[in-house]
Amino acid sequence: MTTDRDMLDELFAEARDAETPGDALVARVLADAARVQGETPLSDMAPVRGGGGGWLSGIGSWLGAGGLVAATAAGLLIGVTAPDTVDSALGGRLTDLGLVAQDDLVPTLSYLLPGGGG
Amino acid sequence: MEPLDAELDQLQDDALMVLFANGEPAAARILTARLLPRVLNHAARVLGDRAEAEDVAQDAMLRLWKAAKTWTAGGAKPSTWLYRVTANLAVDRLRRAGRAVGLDDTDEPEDDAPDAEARLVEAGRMAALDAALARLPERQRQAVVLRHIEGVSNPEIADALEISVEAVESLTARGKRALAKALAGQKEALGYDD
Repeated sequence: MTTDRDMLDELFAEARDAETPGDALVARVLADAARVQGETPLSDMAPVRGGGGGWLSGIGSWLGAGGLVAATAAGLLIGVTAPDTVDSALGGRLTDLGLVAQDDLVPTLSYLLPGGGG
Repeated sequence: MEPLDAELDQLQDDALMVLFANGEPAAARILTARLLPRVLNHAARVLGDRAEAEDVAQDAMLRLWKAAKTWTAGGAKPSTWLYRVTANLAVDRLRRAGRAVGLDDTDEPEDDAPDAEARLVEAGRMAALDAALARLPERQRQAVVLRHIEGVSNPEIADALEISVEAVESLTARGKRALAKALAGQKEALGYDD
């Protein structure tokens, strides 16, 4: 014999799966989702700021600019000192092999002087 | 299910919300597969009308998509949030249509309304259940549907309906009693042994 409580529980269980979304409803919901995703402006993801800070944002603000200056200075230093350093690291073999003239390893600005050679 | 969907299907709803906000279409498919049936079922039992329930379900899901942009992973559960939105949308419709029974938790349904019996004979068990649910006060109805049909926990219902857990327990107990009373004597008509 089914009691009132049993009947109610059975009805609840039946109701649990009573409504399955049809394809048309699913399509409408997904179309809404695509529209909302499409509406999100790019500017929301990467805010564009006005004023003179624009160029800085491209290199990561002042922190990035500081890094850029440091990298430039390091590059200049390496450019000036590297030939000697490389030859020293190789035990002077570049010079021994005649690949590098000794006087080429010393930076000179003499060609900038009037009458200076290159 | 596509390979990416299968991978993302391992994620919690709130993580999928964040992915959705980042433009991942698979997140929308998975969230729809998980949440739309629950929302539709909830709305259908509260409203007693499939077409209206579909409108409410679509509207609730649209609000979920729009909320994704500001969603925080680890915060509110999307399912609880949706139950709340669905409950409010359904109640708005009932009130606009003049079909709301009343928000007062102490209201009890009137004794056997003749139209409930007529619907019962015509349209079977779900219609009978819907007719009985329709005679419950709004909050009782919402609480009974969420607890006994959707299987939502009492604390989550409390969160969705913005009431205390004790109030949920009281609403579901009284709602179930009222339903049993409304359906009493209908066992044979509903196909149960008397």
